[in-house]
Amino acid sequence: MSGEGPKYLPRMMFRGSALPFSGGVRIGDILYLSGQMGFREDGTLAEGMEGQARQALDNVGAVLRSAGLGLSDVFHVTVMLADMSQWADFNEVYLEYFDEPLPTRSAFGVAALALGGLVELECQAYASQK
Amino acid sequence: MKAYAAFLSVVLAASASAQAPAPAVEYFPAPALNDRPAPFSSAVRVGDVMYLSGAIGITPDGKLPDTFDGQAKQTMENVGAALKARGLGFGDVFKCTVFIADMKNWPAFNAVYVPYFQPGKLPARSAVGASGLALGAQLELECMAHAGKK
Repeated sequence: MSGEGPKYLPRMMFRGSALPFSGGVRIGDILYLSGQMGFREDGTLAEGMEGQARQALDNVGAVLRSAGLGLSDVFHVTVMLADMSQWADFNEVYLEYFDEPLPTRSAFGVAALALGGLVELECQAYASQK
Repeated sequence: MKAYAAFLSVVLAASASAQAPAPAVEYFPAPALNDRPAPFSSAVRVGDVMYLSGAIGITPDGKLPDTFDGQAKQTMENVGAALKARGLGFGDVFKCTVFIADMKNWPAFNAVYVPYFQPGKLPARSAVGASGLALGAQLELECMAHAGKK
């Protein structure tokens, strides 16, 4: 762990262009993921809060899998919602994806998210170097 | 003899805890929120860092104080209680993120926040204006604390 530099996941792609960030960066035992939104592979946003929440969580899962991890390794999440009145709807989907013990979390409404998304999730995962 | 036995038991307890290292990741579940399971743990320790979920100024009877000052004080008390439950205190907090529904309350929050910390030992901090917070709260505070050797 000590003396080892950061490990970068590949740059995120969107509609054929590279986004200005990596999917995640691992430092020691912690993988810091970039914020994930509800974009499908074809670059379109999923429908509504429920669709975007599912897609965002699926996208988080895909980045984690690429690093040999899964959602059960996530220990902290920051939830950004375009409309905080959808907090309860978001929670319903969120709790389908995470089992106890749940990650710690903060959630807040924002003025706007990139490309008009309804939800963005930033996660930190424990990446034990067994 | 009795004193020696007590000394020995302390030594044995210390060596037992030394033989069983704490797990790398330790979760602390949150109590129910308005009679529903909270969608988060109250805290998780990863190595030497204790991550706390964002706290709002909800009182033990599930209500939000009417005033911003009331919510700010209750938020700090809730963070303090979450720290205390893990054997930590404000002196262990090294980073916070402040979410404020109305940024004009930034100075009011600072006035409540600063006295909880020792002079010269304020955590690193960022504050953002939020367009809304859970349950209509005016303030949410997320903290990270050092949970390693003092």
